[in-house]
Amino acid sequence: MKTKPLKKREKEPFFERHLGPILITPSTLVIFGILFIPIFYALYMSLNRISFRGADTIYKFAGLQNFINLFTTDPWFKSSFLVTLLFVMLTVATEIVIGVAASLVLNKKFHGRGFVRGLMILPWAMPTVVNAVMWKWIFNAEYGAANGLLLKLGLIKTSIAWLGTPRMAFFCVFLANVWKETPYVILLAIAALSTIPEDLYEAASIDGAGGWKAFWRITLPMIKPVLLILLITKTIWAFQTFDLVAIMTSGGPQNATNLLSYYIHFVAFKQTDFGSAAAMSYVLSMICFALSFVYIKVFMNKDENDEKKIKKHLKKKLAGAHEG
Amino acid sequence: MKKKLTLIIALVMVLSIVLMSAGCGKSNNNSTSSSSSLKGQKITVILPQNEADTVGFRAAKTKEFEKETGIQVELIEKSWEGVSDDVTGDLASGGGTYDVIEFDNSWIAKFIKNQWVAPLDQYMTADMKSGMVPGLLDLFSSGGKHYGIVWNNDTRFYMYNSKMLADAGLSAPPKTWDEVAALSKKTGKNAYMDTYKQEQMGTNELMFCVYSFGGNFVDDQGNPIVSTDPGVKEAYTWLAQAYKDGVFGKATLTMDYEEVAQSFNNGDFPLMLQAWPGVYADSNDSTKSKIVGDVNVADYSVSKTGNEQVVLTLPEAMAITSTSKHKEAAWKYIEYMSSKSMDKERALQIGALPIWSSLYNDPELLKKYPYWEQFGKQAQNSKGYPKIVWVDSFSDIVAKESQKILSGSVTVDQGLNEMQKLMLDAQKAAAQQ
Repeated sequence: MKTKPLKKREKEPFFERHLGPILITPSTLVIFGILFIPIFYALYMSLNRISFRGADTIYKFAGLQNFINLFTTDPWFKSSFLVTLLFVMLTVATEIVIGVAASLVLNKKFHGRGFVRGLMILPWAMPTVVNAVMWKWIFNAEYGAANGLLLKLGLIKTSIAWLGTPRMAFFCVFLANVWKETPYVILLAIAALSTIPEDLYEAASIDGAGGWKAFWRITLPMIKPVLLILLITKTIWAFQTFDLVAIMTSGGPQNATNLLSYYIHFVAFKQTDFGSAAAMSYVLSMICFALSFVYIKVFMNKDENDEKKIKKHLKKKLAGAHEG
Repeated sequence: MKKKLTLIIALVMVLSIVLMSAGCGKSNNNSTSSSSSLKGQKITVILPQNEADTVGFRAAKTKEFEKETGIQVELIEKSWEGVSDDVTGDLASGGGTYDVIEFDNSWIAKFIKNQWVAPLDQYMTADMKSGMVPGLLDLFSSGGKHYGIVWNNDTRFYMYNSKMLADAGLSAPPKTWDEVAALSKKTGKNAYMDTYKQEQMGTNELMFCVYSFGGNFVDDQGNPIVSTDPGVKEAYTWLAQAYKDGVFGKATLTMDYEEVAQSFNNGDFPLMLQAWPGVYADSNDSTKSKIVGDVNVADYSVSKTGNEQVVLTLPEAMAITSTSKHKEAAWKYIEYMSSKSMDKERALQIGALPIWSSLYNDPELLKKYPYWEQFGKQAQNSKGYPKIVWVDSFSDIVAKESQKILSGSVTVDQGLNEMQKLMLDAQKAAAQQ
């Protein structure tokens, strides 16, 4: 494409010459306003002890004290942090394993596939609050469907207080999250599966690879970029889980479901300790950032090499088979 | 043509930026409340929609207020938690959004210390000061100034299902905690359900239990005494054993107020130790209850020996934010909604307890609510949250650590020692702020 000589462009009207930057300015301003200003403001808050007098907010510089306090004097941060890590690891792993498995099934041709695919999306399409309220009632110790069903089937003799013991409550929140979030994995995994050329499987079959081997050697490497995106987004979303805890357990019992997002909210809006809450938010953001960086480093480079190798190898084999 | 189009696009862009900046900035509307008429002014009111008003009484009366005064009201009603977050978030960031706010009894020390609410003395009439229930006015006062007018006289009372008790061979409800345990043992069922949830409502009910054993979490100066107060230890020892024995249901650790009331109205258990006034009306409403005609109000509340009579009082008030630009219009709204005639109407319609003393002797109200006589007896010693700045931490610590004690994860002594340590830390942290 030819570019106009500089002198000629200079003669164009100002707006025409700068139309590009002018058009992106509003969105840049919005992004700056809703993203960067809060980020830097939160950093400022995290370095200060904050108190209030009427309409005035008083900032007293505290250095890194808010960060240090999280690990030394804060009574709940460490337990909340560990519970969150466990929750993130379990939910992300479960959602991706179940999601990929389900997408493999839904990628096969069978009668009513479209209907089943549509049905699978329902939990994800449901608002999180509705999902949380629904599970809260399912696990209600007195009137819940879970107890009702198990009692009718004779599997239990007395009602279980599902949300009343730490482990059980954690499991219930975990289950509610997996139920809600797995369809998203299925959706993306199906999209990724549909891009894999059939001839790769044909070539693998000629090579004598069975279904399991084809999955490990073809399917998984080919959908790895999508899995990487899922891994990153799912991890970040799992760290952000708030609504489920707020509605189902309020962080209890015994702090067993007091995930960091919920705890940050408590420290900010109940204790009005905005400095500590901002410090916690930064710790949480840094963890998400670090994990995303690690995921990309570990999977992306290896992924690109794997994909190239597979394609090259299989095309060679396929060409050989056709010639033969 | 092309130039013109480019110019138009550019102008639209500039205009949108200007409009956006205007939208993001704070309003500079300096309409003062000292103008001759309040008509046309707009105030924003944020209050919780809770169990006290299930028929939309407030919303209907707000519309009437708008018609009568010409003051526009944007009424925001949501859950208590939602209101709490919105109000705190707004006030902490400089305020200006709300004129009339929820002022919960547990927020008094914090809000006044932060100067988030305006004194109401200049607006209050002599009638109000002398005619409203003194305890309610005093609770929302500090340094000789009044900061809140109660809209929800949320005092709790001991109610029971007389049929269930008769079936268990009892002619009167248990008076002591041991009698409550004995009732459960006799029937082999839960004697009561409550909310000991990890939330403020859980702390409310645990406070009642401790108070009824003659205990206190903090002394008169607001210092924690959890590990040394004998009443606290006795209360938690009883609660831990009762949890094991099934005196109250295990779901108590997760249920909220609405669920407890619903369960009581289903006839699942006979005692509601600290029911709010509206429960009585609901339990006699056949569309909501399976125990119509079976509920009674006791003359006393449950306590350790029967002598430590106490009921929980958790009133909620309306207050004017110190940043409100329409303080007079805001006061007009508060005055209208808390007038004696409105108070009576509210009592007649939704069974809310009056905030005006004389209404407790009103023949019409006493005819409709004869059990208010028992309410009066129980309410002689009502107690609420301690007036401490670190009340949110206090509530959180009590709720979390109590669950560990109840479920047997830690012994009573271990739990109370930990509670004491955490409370001291919270007190110290609050002092540094």
